[in-house]
This record gives sequence, C-alpha cells and structure tokens, in this order.
Amino acid sequence: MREKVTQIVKQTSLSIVQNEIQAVRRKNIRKTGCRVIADGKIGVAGGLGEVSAEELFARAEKSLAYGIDYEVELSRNLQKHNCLDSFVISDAELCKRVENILGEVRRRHPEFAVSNKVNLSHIDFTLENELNLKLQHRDCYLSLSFLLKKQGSTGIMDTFFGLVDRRLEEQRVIEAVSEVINAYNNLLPMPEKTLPVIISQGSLTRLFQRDLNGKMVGNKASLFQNQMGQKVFSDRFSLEIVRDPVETYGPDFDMEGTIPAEDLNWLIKDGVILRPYTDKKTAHRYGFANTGCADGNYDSVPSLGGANVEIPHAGKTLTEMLNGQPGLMIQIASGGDFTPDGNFASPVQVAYLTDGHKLLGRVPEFTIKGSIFEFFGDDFIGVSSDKIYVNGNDRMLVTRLAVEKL
Amino acid sequence: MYKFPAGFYADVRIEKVFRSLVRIETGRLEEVKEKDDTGAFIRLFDGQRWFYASTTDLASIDFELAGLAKLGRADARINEHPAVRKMQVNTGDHCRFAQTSVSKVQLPEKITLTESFADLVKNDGQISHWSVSYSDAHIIKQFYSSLGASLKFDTQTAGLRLGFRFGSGANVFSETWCKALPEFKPLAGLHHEARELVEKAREFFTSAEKIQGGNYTVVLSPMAAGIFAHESFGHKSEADFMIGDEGMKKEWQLGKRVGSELLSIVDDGNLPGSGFTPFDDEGNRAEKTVLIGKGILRGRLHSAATAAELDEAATGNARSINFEYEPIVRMTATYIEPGNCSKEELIGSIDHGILIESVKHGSGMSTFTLAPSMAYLIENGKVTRPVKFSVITGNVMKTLDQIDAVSDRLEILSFVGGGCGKMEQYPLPVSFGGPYVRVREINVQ
Repeated sequence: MREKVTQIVKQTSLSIVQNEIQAVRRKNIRKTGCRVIADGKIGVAGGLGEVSAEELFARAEKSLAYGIDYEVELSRNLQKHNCLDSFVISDAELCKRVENILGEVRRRHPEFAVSNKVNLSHIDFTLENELNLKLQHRDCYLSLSFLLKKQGSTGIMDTFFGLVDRRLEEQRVIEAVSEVINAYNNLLPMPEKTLPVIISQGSLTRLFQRDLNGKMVGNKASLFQNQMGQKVFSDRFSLEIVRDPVETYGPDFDMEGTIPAEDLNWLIKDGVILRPYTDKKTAHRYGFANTGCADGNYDSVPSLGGANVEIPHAGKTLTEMLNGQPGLMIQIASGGDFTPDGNFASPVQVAYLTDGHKLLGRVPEFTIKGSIFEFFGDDFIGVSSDKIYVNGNDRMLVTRLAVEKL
Repeated sequence: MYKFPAGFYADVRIEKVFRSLVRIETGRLEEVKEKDDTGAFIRLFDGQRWFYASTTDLASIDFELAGLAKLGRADARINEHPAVRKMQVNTGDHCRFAQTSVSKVQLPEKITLTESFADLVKNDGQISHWSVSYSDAHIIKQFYSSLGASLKFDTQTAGLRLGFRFGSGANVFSETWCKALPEFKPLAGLHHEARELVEKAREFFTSAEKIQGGNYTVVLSPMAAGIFAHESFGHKSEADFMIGDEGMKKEWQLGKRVGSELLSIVDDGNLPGSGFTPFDDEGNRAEKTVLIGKGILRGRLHSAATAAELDEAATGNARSINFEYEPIVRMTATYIEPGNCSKEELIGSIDHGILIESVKHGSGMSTFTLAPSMAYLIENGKVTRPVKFSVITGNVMKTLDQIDAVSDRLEILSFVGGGCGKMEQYPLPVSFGGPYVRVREINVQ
C-alpha cells in the first residue's frame, strides 16, 4: 500500500531592521514524501523539488527491508479539502503596508526600534493513499514578529509584539504596538497584594506534552501514571486537543490521516485525566484510543509528536475573570522549567499590569512558582473567552502563582 | 559561471546535503532514513536592500538572479559599498571529509552501532522509557559571488543521542547522553562514556533530594559553563542586534570591562565539532574571535553587513540553518577559556555550594537561567550528595563579574539532534564548552 505526502510552501519574508525593510526573501519549496506499507512494515523516502514519485516509492519499498514495524490500519475513504487561502496580497502591497506600520510606530515612538520579521506564507499540504484517502489543507497567513527595543538599552530586545492572522489590520497593529510600548515606558512598583497571573496557556500546559504522551503512559513512565481516570485537577479544568484549522493554522488531520471522533479530543475533562494522546502505532501497542496525534517530517515514518492542546474557556472575558482587580500579564518568561514532580519555576523578564481591557504599566522583573496540581487545581481561575490582541491574539490563562521579587 | 547582473552585488550558495537517521525506541526500530538533497540560496544587493530567493532547481539560478535584479536598482559603484567591501573573495576546494564521508557508511552498519548503544539500557528494570538515535550530516557547500569568489568546502557530524527515564509517577528522572564527532568510526568507542552517564543518572535518581532555595556559590561544569557563555553572552555578541542603535554601540564599546578578569570567552568556527564552519554562508573565512579577554570586551561576531556598519573586521559568523534561509549573525563554537587552578582546588575552597554537572536548557536576556539536570551539593570542599531544584538564575552582567575561579582543562562539547535557535532559524549546529567555572552568589530556585 502506498501513501504520499506533498508539502508546498511559498513564502515572502520581510526582514526588518530599525523600522525599515532591509531584505525581501522569496521561496517556493516543494517537498514530497512516499511511504510503502506491506506486511506490517513501513518504508519511507522523500525528496525536494520536482522529483519522480515512482522513484521515491521504489526507494521506500527498498527500505521495507529494514523491518520497521507498522501494524496499523491505514486511513481510508475520506476526501477533505480545507481551503483557508483567501487572503490575497501582492508582495509590493505587503511591503507598502508594513512600511506604513513601521513608519507610524517610528513617528509615535522614536525612542523605540522595531526589528525582526513579517512572513506571508502559502501552505499547501496533501496526504493521500491508495485507499481513497485524500486530505488537503491550504492556508495563507501572515506572521508578524516585532522585537521592540528602546534606544540605549543594553539588551537584545525590551518587549515584543507578535501575531498570526489571515488579514493585515494596520491600524489595529499600530495601536497594539503603541499600547505595549506605552505600558513598557510606564514602570510601576510591584503591587504588594497577590494578584492573579495571566499567562499563555502553553507555558503551563507543556508538562502534559511530556506526561500525557501515550508512550510515557504506556511505559509507565508518566508523572500521572497512577492518576489515570482520577480527578486530579479543578473540576473547572479541562484539556482538549484542538484541530480547527481556522484557529490552529494547521490541518485538522494528523500525519496518518486520522480525524478522531470529537470525544477523543478530551485528555482531561472536569479535572479527571481521561487518556493520553496517541498516534495509531502507540494506540495499538498499548491498547489506548487513537487521538490522532501522529507527527513527523514529510519524509519520516509517522510517529507520536506533541498534541495541540487548549484549555476550553467558560465564557468569561479576561475583565470578567479579573472581577475588578488588576492582574499580572506575563509577556516574556524565558528559561523556566518543571521539576519531574510537577513544580514549575520561571523568571519573568517582562510583565504588565492589566485590568483586562488595557495594559496599565510594566512591573519589575520577578519569579513565578507553583505546582501543576495547584495552578490547575484550587488556584485555577480560568481561560479568557476573548482573545488578547496585545499578547499574540490568544485566549489567556488566569491562575494563581507565587510571585517573588528578583 | 552564473550571470551576475551588472550594478549589483550577488552571490549563490549551493548546498548538497547527505543525511541519515536511525532511531530505536524502547527496543523497537522506529525509523531508518537516508536522504540526499540539493538546494541553492541566491542573494542580490543594490546598496539599499537585499533580495533573496531559494530554490531546489539549480538550472533556474540565472533566472532567479535576473528576477531579483528586477526588484532592485542597479548601482554602478556597488562594489564600493562598505558591506560589499567586507566580502572576501575566497577560492578553491577546501573539502576535508570526502574520504571519510558518512555517505559512504552503509545503513546496516549505522543500525548495528545504534543497537549496540540500545543494549546499554534495553533490559534495565529501573529505566521505564528510552530511545537512542544515530544521525549524521555531510554538507558540501559551493559559494560563488559577483566579486569572483569560487569556493567549495564541507562540514560533517556523526553522533548519537541516548535519552532515558528512570521511575514512574512523581518519582521520575530523565537524562540524555549525546555526542557528535566529525567522523563515524570513533563513535564505536564511546559505550563506556554513555554507560558511565547512565550509572551516574541512576545514582541521582535513587538518592537526589530537594534543596532549599537561596543564594549559593555555584560551580558550573564545562557543559553548564558553555551553555551559560552561549546563552548569556554569546547572543549579546551577535552584532546584528546593535545595528543603527547608537546607545547600544556606546554601551558595548570595545575595551569596556564586562566581567571578572578571570573570564575570557571565545568563538571559533575552526574548531572541529558541531560548530565547525571554516567559511561562513557569505564566503568569509572563520576567525577565532575573542569576545571577552580577561574581563574586557574585545570583540563581537559579524556578518559583512554588521562589520561594515560598525567599521570592524568580518569574523565569518554569517550562517543560515539551510539553503532556504539567509545568513544572519550566529555563533559557531563558543567557549570560556581555561584558567590555572585544578577542578579539585576550585571545589576544595567551598564550604557550602552546588556543582551543576548537566543542564536541560538555558536562556539569557538581562536575566539568565539554567535548568539543571544533575546537580550536587558541595560541603566542606567535597562533592557530597545529589540535589534537585528547578533553575539557577541571576543578572547576566553581575554574574560575569562574580566568577572567581576557572579550572585549567577545556572541554568542547558537540551534539546532534538540536542546536541553537535565533528568531525563525532553528536548529543551527553549534558547539560550546569551557572548564569548570566557580561563581559566587547565584540564586537557586
């Protein structure tokens, strides 16, 4: 049986130095991966550019001899085409509009320099096989990454604005960058009172990537080994695998063509750990449900990667969750980590005080600490129903963590 | 030769890349892959702006050059532009791995080697999860420029990564042994080294205790010192962060004291290992660059453009992760230079401190952090027992000043399966290292 992966990336990338476009890069790269599956074994081969699929299949067939186990049922009889590539902008227009943003930010904030990248990416990804499977994901989106640096500061950057979107809202970007810079310039003392911490979900959910990995659980190596099926976290805390291509900027199928049933997306529901995340091979090997988390390069044997997880919100905006008090919104927290038993600590390089509507000012650097069983347990407040534009246009996690001055 | 458009500086970098990968996980062969790819990155400069294209179709390079020229404005005096004047015109074939190329080693031999490392852990009752991977890369680069550069050189690494986890539930400990060498054959002699680390990790797993947070005198191993040098100071030495910022140029003026006089940090792309970069991706030769010499800021890392902007010499540090990306200023092999005292002397004078032996990751902005994997308590001048904590952290500049002893033996570490990240470009192979380094007053959390 044969499967083919085709990935085409067309990208225009603008390099920004000191509020000016210093370079324009264009690329158009096609990658093809071929798999041959026979007698419970898999062989793979891949190539760049215009390559002969027949040649790749022949190489993949030859590599069956290495005996890599692949005793899974292949996906079949499914045709799906996600087309999210309606954002159209010429390179010249993109340059002009980005220059407008950079020019206006310079006019408003001459003491700050903007650098790094704006990338416009067209993605066309297809997975197909001889069992009538053809899944295609096409997307076009813009990634803005602005490092904001105050003239004379000795660091590499002072603060940041970043965003992925399928449109370019110039005025909104300018206002958001301005809000970040104005807040950065307004250094406030650290409030004496303990405040809720507002942080990106991934900073604190990353332990689940390691310890709800199906192989870790299957090999009895997980932190949650003895807690599967038990209520471990707050009953307001759930964790689900998200697949909506509109939200994730990725396909809703995995590298094995799996789109699992809705209920299998829940890894934790109402505080109860339900299942690990898996791909076909891991699910088969350890007797778990397949949650469709096969990953890998275009030319790799599909294997269990990470899960794209999110904590669902309960319908309250950030302002509503803060309930009239300010919160500490963390923008840059680099270098933190979990201990094996689930304790987290991280320095926070840049954080702002916010009322949920606006950034009120910057607070001095500090450290956050907490246990996963507490910040997703009794200390868990929730996830905002609104997306916070100044912080990556993401729904933000609100919880209580120990905050210590550096 | 390529048709370089008149009135522009242009260069073409062609990369021929051989890679192979073998991965065994908890006793099962999971992946065997061998590939041979070729691609090109094309740059054109009109004195104002750079234009780049990448392609896998080598026959289209002249077409791409002509297309990029249409985006720019020709300038008859382009070769007098300061950035162009920093481009060296190197020529010749400088390949050194043709005879020992990993592409000549058959896959079954690589599988056998990987299996022999899997044997170290596969029947270990205390290890709940493990994987071992072999990976290699032989990259041949050709570089041609409108100035006349015509250069061929290669880099190569072959290495192993053995990751393992002891225990279950809340009582788990993960560690990784990883090593890269310039050739395949010597990898077969490294089992002893890997086994030693497995046993050390086992002891750590069974006996490490939590330690109270606070300020300690900390000894950094060559790995920890290398990561600290790379993350905390190396990135600040990359001159692209200074472009156009007069305040930054003043703050980072060469000759300024930035650390203890025992501290010297160097970057050198000529060293064998995963940071080996004899020429950079704009054809400039690698230099040994002293970043800090005895506590004084002595140099920084440059591309041609940043060297021109700061009126300093190019250092051969313009690197890209592959032919899809433009070269930007990056490190190669970055290390702290050794001092005079022995490791034993360095530890012997500590009443109460911590030795950080291995590190999971590190980061460094104004504040740095290192997340230790294996760490040990030092009591009355002796390393006594394994201890665990989340991170050490501190102000970078203050910490550079608090180094008060540096041991006499340098160790450079090379790796496979990861590398350095900068903005969108990850992973770039680098190496790093140092001697044992003692720092007063580091915050342990």
